[in-house]
Amino acid sequence: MKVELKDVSFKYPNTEKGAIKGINLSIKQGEFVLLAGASGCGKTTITRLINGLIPGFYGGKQEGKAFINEKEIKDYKSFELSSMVGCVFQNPRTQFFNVDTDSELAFGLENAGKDRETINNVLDKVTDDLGIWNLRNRDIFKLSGGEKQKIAFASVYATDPDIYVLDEPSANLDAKGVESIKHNLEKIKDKGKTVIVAEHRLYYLKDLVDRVIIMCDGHIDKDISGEVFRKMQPKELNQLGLRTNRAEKVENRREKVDSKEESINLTLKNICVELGGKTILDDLNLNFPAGTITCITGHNGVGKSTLLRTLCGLIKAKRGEIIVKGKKCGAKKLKEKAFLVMQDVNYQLFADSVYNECSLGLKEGKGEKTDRALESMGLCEYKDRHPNTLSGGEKQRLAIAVSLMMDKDILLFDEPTSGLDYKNMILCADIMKKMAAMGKTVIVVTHDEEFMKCCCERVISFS
Amino acid sequence: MIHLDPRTKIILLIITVIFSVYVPNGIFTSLWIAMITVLGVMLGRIKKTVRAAIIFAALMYIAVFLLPCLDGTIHTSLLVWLALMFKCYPGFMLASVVVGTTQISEFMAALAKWNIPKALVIPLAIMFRYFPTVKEDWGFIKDAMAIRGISASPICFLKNPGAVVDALYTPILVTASRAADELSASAISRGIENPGRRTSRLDIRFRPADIAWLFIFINALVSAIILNSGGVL
Amino acid sequence: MNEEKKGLTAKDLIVTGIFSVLFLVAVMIGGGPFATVPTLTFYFPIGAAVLAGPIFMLFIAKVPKHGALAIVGAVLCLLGTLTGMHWGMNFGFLVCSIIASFIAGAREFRSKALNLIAYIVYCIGPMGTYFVFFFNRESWVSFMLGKGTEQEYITKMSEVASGGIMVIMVLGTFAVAALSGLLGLRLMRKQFVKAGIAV
Repeated sequence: MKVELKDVSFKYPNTEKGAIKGINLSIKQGEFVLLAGASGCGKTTITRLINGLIPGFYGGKQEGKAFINEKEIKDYKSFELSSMVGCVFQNPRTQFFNVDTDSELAFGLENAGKDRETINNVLDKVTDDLGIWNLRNRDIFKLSGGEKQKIAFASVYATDPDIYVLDEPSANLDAKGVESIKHNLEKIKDKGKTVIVAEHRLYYLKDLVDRVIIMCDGHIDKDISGEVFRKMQPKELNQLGLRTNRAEKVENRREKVDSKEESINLTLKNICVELGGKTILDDLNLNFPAGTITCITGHNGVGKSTLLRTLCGLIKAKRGEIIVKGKKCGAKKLKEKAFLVMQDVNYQLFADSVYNECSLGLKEGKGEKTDRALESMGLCEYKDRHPNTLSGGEKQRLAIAVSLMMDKDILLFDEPTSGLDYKNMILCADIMKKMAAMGKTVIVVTHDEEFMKCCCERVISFS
Repeated sequence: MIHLDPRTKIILLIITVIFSVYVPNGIFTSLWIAMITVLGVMLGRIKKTVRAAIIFAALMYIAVFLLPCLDGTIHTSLLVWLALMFKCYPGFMLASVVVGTTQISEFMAALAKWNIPKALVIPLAIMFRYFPTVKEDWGFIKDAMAIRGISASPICFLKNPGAVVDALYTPILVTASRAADELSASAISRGIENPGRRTSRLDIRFRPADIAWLFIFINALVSAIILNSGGVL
Repeated sequence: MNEEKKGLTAKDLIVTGIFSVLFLVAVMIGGGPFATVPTLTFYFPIGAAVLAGPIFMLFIAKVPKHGALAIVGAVLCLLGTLTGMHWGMNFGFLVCSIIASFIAGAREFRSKALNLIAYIVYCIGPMGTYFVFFFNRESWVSFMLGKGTEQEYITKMSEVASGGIMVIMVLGTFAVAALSGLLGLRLMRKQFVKAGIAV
């Protein structure tokens, strides 16, 4: 099946972000195409043109024509298209329709009206092909992000489309999850399927791509072959605003921290945390000096998030002490001292404008302090915008500005770079360095090795 | 372990509701709860069913043995409260068994067999799916509020009503809107708009177990009504 | 898939499902505490009206079509019936949702005043059960508690349920619904439109 865009322009209603102009693109059957570019460059828009969600679903104005098999995409009904184009989206939490995995795997087939025997045979074959017997008949809400994404992929794989469209499938995954997406992509590539991936993280696609399309401000900047892409140096890519194409390995830098008493801001002594009767953290001893950035890595489920939640007083430790600047702190005190920037920062933004977000709930010291906080985060120009209209990176910086307003000394980050492009990742790293220079203790839970390489002074690997 | 057609479960639920309406609290309620307990355990929902049965037994114990020892306002209030509890208990308990043992796809297929329009089936299916999500979201939002020194408590509300209102509504509704968009995009791209008949991977039809349970429930209902109006017990 | 769809699309139905959950949660949190205490039961409609204003306003802005609200009503009615709630409330939800849909729809769901009235009408739904009480006490008590309930309780309820309480219930619900609806309109303007999640 051939995908063809002829001089296509598109603009979303009410926003300039993601608009594309005069795109000409032809993708052959069996080609593996990577769409790269900064956030808002229009790569997601192209995936939506191909899966038919534009313009029908998102509204907006389209010029030019998009074809699959010489027929205009908008002339297909959505359910006709669904048998040809399979989609995996960015957020594993919001793309499943069912509560149990088996129903989810069968969803597409059931919608298509396949008979029972066929559906069950296909399900078993899919499970074998993708090696997911351990995920059959499970509660989706109890799966990790990576496992949810595997189910999302498998449920598309079950309908056996000729074209796969993936929009940042790795955004919320750890290294292991990314590895399994890569395996799945290899599989469909070998079957001769057309694959179109829009992605920020490039390293895992390096060996698979036949063609890389680099976008910039809604047009195609470069259209290069996989060979050329593989030979590119990370530096060249960075200059184009892209992330590296190499898998980075960060060595474990668990060196002795400067043990001078006054530099230690935060100490954990024999911390034990239990959740629902299960011991998550057992007898943990750690020191965090003021003015350093510490990264914590490790696979899903080893208690990294639990540690963060304990440090900001959301969970009470069952045993052990948390000492801040020489004083023992309970959960209530920790809530005053620590600030957590959540992975999904949307939950943390309440107010109707960026400016009000900073001053929300504060009685005194609004004016000047707010200006300073916004200034240091580079958000002054967005003062009157609604937080929800900001980009992911900007929302994150707004949350950090809030922590500055509240004079918090300990900053905790949960996967801050998921879904960030190169520019925003660097910006995020710079801001963390700035925070450390201000004497704050910065603790980051992350899987992003490229990011760790550029800002981390100390890496602790959990297992 | 047995498996029942979702349609059977819905009919059993309706029978239970009729029972609650026409049969007063008492020995029949206890028997009915016992029946639901057996059903719940046989459907494989063991722990939660047994827990619900124990709670009911405790309430019954209070009603039978402790209540007569009290008098005055406490007696009346407790009596009335217990009466309401007993009235709602069978329906709620069975409903939770049904929800806990029925898959969304199964439920959708069963409703399709009754020719219930998609306009009703899809929202109902999404409700099953979204309830746990609201719970998760609320957990995150509560954390986010705690970090900002805001809580939904009355004291905090009086101190700073604007901030609490914003913190309660904005994230919930913003995430709900986003989830609605993303879920719809995903469902549409997987063919939910297909006007043809939806099939199911499960073989949904009435089996002997369905007939048996329908028979048991209908019989129990009829007997309870007859015995009750005859004043035998 | 570019054709203009007049009826409810799959997306509309999914939005409706998600908001039905929010409506239900709002009723449970706002009204729940009243529902379990028999002498406070008459304040249930007031409690149920407290939280849902902003949800209502955002919902009709997101799906400005007839039928969407009716589906919310039908869903609430169905779930209420299946869990043994009083039929007065279940059908109250259904009927009032449909009327609310017509009121708000008269101006294409864009008139603030009509949307506010629609929300107040929607909040009348849970009162259905208590109207049954006032017009036919025996039937209500026998539904809620079964026949043969102690006389003590009926007397007690009748004491509490004077004509005055009915007035308080109705006016209280109207007042609270109006406030919640106004809050909804305010949040629409202040938050949701700016946030880009509603037009």
